[in-house]
Amino acid sequence: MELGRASTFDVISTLPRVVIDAILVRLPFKDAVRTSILSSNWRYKWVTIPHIIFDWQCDPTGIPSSNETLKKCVNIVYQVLLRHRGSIHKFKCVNYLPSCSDFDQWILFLSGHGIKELILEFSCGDIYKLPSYFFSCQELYNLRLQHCIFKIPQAFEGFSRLKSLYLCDVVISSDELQCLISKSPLLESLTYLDYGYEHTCPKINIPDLRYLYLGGSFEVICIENTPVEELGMHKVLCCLRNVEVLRMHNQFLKFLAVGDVPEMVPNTFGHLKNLSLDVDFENGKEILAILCLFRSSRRLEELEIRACFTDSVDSDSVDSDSVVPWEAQEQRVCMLKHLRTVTMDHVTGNNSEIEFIRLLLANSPVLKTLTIDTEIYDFVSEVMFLRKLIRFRRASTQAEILFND
Amino acid sequence: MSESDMEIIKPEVMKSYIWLQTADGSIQQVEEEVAMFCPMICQEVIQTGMGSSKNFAISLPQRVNPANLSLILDYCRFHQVPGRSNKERKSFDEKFIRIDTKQLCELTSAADSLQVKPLVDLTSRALARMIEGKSPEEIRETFHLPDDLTEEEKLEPLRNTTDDMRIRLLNRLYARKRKELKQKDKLKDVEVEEDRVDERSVDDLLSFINGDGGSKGIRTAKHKKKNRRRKDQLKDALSNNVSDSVEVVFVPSPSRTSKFLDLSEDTFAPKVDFEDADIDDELDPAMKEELDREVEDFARRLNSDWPERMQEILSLGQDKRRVPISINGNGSLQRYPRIDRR
Repeated sequence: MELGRASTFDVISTLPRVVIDAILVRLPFKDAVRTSILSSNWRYKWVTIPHIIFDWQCDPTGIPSSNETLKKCVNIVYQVLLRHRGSIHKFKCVNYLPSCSDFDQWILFLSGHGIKELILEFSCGDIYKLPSYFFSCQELYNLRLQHCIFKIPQAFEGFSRLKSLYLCDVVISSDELQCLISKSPLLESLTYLDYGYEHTCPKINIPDLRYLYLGGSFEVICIENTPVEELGMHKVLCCLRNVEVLRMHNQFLKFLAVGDVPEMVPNTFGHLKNLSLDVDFENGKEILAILCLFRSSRRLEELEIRACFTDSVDSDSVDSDSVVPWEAQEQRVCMLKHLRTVTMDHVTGNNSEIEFIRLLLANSPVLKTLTIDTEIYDFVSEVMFLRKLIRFRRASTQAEILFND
Repeated sequence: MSESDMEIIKPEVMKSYIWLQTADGSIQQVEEEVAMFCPMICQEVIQTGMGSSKNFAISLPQRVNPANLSLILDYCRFHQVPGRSNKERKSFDEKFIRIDTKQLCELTSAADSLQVKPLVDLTSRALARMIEGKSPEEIRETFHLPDDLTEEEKLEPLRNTTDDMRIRLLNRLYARKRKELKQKDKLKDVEVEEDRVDERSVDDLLSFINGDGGSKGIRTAKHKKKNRRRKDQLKDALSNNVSDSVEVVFVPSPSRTSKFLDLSEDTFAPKVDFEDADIDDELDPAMKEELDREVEDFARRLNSDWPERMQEILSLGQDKRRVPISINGNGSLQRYPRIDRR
């Protein structure tokens, strides 16, 4: 009788498969699989779940250290994969297991099940060599790897559907990276971070790129097979003309600023919405370069600047105060009409930075927040800095200046 | 043609309406911009041109009933206005999903059939939140799911051939106990941390988290302390049932019992060693007392959390649930008719 009542109200079990999948996908993976013990109806509902995710939520104690727990975790992955039915849309394994040969088996399995998103992240110190069947996952559109070795086989035809590529500390030669990028015609988003390994020189040659994030200490960046400094601002910005989000945490500006820095590069960078750069405020040319960027990008909405110091004794680097005519700049810089959020890190309160902030405040009519993270350790200097800041005229009545501790 | 009809009927109305028909036959008209927010309706209008008048109303998929439809249209009406801020939309959404669970499920299904993706996302997230982090009992209660899996099936993912017999024996013993207590209804004062216990057994046996030595060891220690307290309670409970009649008992033949000695521990606590449990297939009430004692003995010797398991099942036995009983294919004695599950 209880059962009779139960079946009348048990609506959720009668929902169509797509809806159940939509619900299960929004649960932590472990909870989704555990629904198999709820009732006989639910025993096999999880097996069509499109996303398989192994991360800290599956094992809060972290990567298994003992052999036994390692075997158990590996077993779990095997069991999940074997029970799964249908195609697997996304497979994510982040800091769940150390690299082992079982991963080869799993990638082989996934490649036969139409994997579309693959996220493999291993922890620091660990490294995993991608097997050859990885390169036959033709449905991939989102790939994210950390601490892997990428060895492209001869017969590689490219990932024809790849849209988003994220490589962090991946061992890959610049030619191979170039090959990978050029054979992925739909690539829109590229993130290449290189904090530890060989400082590969990434060669960017993607006309449709919308999102570019390069991080690490590169000595040279090449765009269209030419080092950036030889290209000059014009060409670089032209190559990146469709980029909407640009994050370069290395000396990108330094490369751009070599040679003559024009005032503005017309008709380019019209799509840039989000910009994140390292700027050396002591180097006048870099400031000119960034001002040029501002003038060239009409739609900039979010800006993130990190003040850094380059020890370069470059003959090109000129003291900013002499090179940058701040007063004149204020008149000539186009209004940053859409700029809404600005974040500045590692601000030390030198003159150049102060003038830069003044410029920003005076030229952004819709600015909402300016967040400053100072590295001024001396109380008096900080007060001086704040006093100067207070004076500045703000084009936006909504602007707030926030300080991060 | 049909448009001019509309104009004659309502010449003063500048808005255009779309006619929709739900599966039960009722027809209603909806403002065009609201209805077009649903991709399925939009597609119908564009591809087939239907919906412009009452006679040509778009028939909606079966999963959409009038109640759901009005909810969906409220959602569409709010969100199709472009000028709303994110905050407004969010707070509308939060209020919108505060409906009864059954309604929420049906709404999700209806939204999916009309392909209103943001609404499907909103409702399925709400349902996922109701499942996340809860114990199986809580989930079953929320969604009125029947608890009709045997212990064996619950443990199935990790079943090896050697574990079979153990599980089956316990199944039978539990089943018997459950039935007894269902009738007695005496164990209301047995305190059971259902969540924790159940979680423990599921975790243990599904080996999904913390299935390794460290935390498990800690838990084992804790359970041991509780063991003693509960064992006493259990003893009392069991001794009270001596006079009950026995319903069903399945007992393995002695030859199989000896196989227990060869079991590898795997999922259960390593220090299991039990003697040849001398379990006869005697069913007289007189033997029942001995059987009770042996059950307890047996349980004690097993994985330390089995007593809690039993407690949990004993107290759950108060619910009027089907008692799943697994059948031993090898022909153990079945004195009483078995109850079909399903």
